[in-house]
Amino acid sequence: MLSQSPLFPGLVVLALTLPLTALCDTAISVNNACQVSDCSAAGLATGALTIGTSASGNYSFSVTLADGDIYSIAGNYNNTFPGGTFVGFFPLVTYTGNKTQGNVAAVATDVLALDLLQDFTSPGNNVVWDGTYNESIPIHLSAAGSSATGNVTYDGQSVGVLGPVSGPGNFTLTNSKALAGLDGNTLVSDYNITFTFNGGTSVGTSASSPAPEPVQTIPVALGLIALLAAKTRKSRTGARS
Amino acid sequence: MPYNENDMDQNHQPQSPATDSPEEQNRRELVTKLGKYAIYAAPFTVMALNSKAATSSGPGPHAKAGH
Repeated sequence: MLSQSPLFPGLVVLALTLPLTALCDTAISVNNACQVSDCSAAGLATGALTIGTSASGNYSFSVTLADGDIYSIAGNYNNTFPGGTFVGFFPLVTYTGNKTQGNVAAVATDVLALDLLQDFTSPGNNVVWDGTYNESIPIHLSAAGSSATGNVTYDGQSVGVLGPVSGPGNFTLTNSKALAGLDGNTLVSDYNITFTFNGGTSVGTSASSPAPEPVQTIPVALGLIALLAAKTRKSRTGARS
Repeated sequence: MPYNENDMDQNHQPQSPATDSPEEQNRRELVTKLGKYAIYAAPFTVMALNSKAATSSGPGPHAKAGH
């Protein structure tokens, strides 16, 4: 039986530590064209996060703009609703060439407006979502001639338009704002990051809101190992005395 | 009749964890410890994953004042 297995305690703990992922709808659009999941208001409302649930995933696709310039867009998202709302967006946009001319520099200025769309819902009467909202947008621009802005809205209210910042460089844009009048059972969030690439942008030029770097997890892992070692030593010392 | 543990047939061998081999006991202890530390690790993992993300947070739902 599973309950008699030595793995059972670990499996239970693992299950408890994993976020509960329901059938949620997180969508991504580029220049108002839906690229991931269902961007319609009805689809987003149906798949809204409820308290205690989360939604995360990866995406990778290409878009071809009217001038023929092609961009690859890849990354992941991580949205949670433990009680407060939380949205995490990790896009990487790279210019890959032109549809008709091939491996050439961008033929004209290109604007890519990425929107991560996520609804939250809570049952009951007289529900409001008013309060202070925060936004933090790290931006990496690999070359000159590119720029970025960021903006998060809740039910259409902006937490603050951040930027523009111009490359090359790394930037962190932050803001907080108290929002009021967010009434109703559903809160509609829209996380917008807009990248602009000037004409002449070289193939391989990228712009991103950086994904986590492995080096950042190393100190955390080392700390946990030290904690485990200290705990083990303490329990052994206690057993001897 | 005096008890003789050698009379016990194989079908009546005790099944308790006390008969586990040292390796099995070590494995059981390790899994329990790892499971326990998974609880501690989870928030740090989330922090690490989100440390460089474009993020936004809000207060969550609450009842309208006066209700």
